[in-house]
Amino acid sequence: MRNIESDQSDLLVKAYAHCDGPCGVYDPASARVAGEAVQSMTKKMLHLECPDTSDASAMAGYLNTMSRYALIKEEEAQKCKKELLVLWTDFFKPNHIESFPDLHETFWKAAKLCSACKVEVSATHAQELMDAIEEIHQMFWQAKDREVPWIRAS
Amino acid sequence: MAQIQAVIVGESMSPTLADGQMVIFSSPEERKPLPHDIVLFFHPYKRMKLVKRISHITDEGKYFMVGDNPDLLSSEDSHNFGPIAGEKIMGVLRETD
Repeated sequence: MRNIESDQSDLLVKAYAHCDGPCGVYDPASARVAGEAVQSMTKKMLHLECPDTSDASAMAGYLNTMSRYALIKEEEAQKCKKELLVLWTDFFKPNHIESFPDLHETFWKAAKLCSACKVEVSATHAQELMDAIEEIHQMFWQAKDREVPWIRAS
Repeated sequence: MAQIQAVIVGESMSPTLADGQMVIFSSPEERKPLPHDIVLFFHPYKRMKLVKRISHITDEGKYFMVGDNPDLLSSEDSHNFGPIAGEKIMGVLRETD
C-alpha cells in the first residue's frame, strides 16, 4: 500500500475534510472593535494640541504621544482589514450574493477605507469605515437569520 | 496496485464520510477522476491534503471541489480557493471501512 507521507513510513495520510476556521466561529464584532480603535486614535490625533515648538520637553512628549497614536491607528486598521477579509473570503459564500448583491462592493470599499485610515488622519474616512462595518454587521447577521443590534463599545 | 490509505479529519464530507473514518483511495492513473467522485488532493495554498467531492469540471479543465456537508460553513472548498488542476489530485475514493 502506497503511503504518500513517506514511502518508508507506516503513517496514515490525513485527508482533511474541514473548514478554514475549524471552530466555525465568525463575528463582525472583531472588525468593529478594531474600527472603533482606528476612529478613536484618529480623533485623538486631530485633537492633540501642539505645544510651543521651542519647549523641547513638551515637544518630546507631544511627538511621543502622537507617534503612539499613529502606531495604534496603523495596527488597528490592519487588524480591521484582516478581520473583514476573513469574513469576506471565508464566511460569505456565492449563494449570499443573491441576498446581498452589494456584498463585494461593500467589502471592497471597507477594505479600501482601512487602507485610507492607515495612510491619512481623516475623521471622515474613519466614520465611513465604521458605516461600512455596520453594513457588514447587518448582512452577516441577516445571513445567519438572527437579529443582533449594532452596538458600539465606545 | 497503487493505493493510499487515509483517515478522515473533519466534518465537511459528512454524512458520506465521518471524522476518523478510514478510507482507501486509488491512484488517478488507475482510476480517472470524474464528476461526483470523492478525491484526495493537495490544497492549492497550504501544506495539507484535502478530501472533497468533484462537483464539475470547468471549461478550463480544472476540477471544482465541494464538501458534502450541507452546512455551508463546514467546508473550505473550491468556493474559497477556486478549481483545482488535475495534477493536484492524488487519489480517487475506492472504499471505506
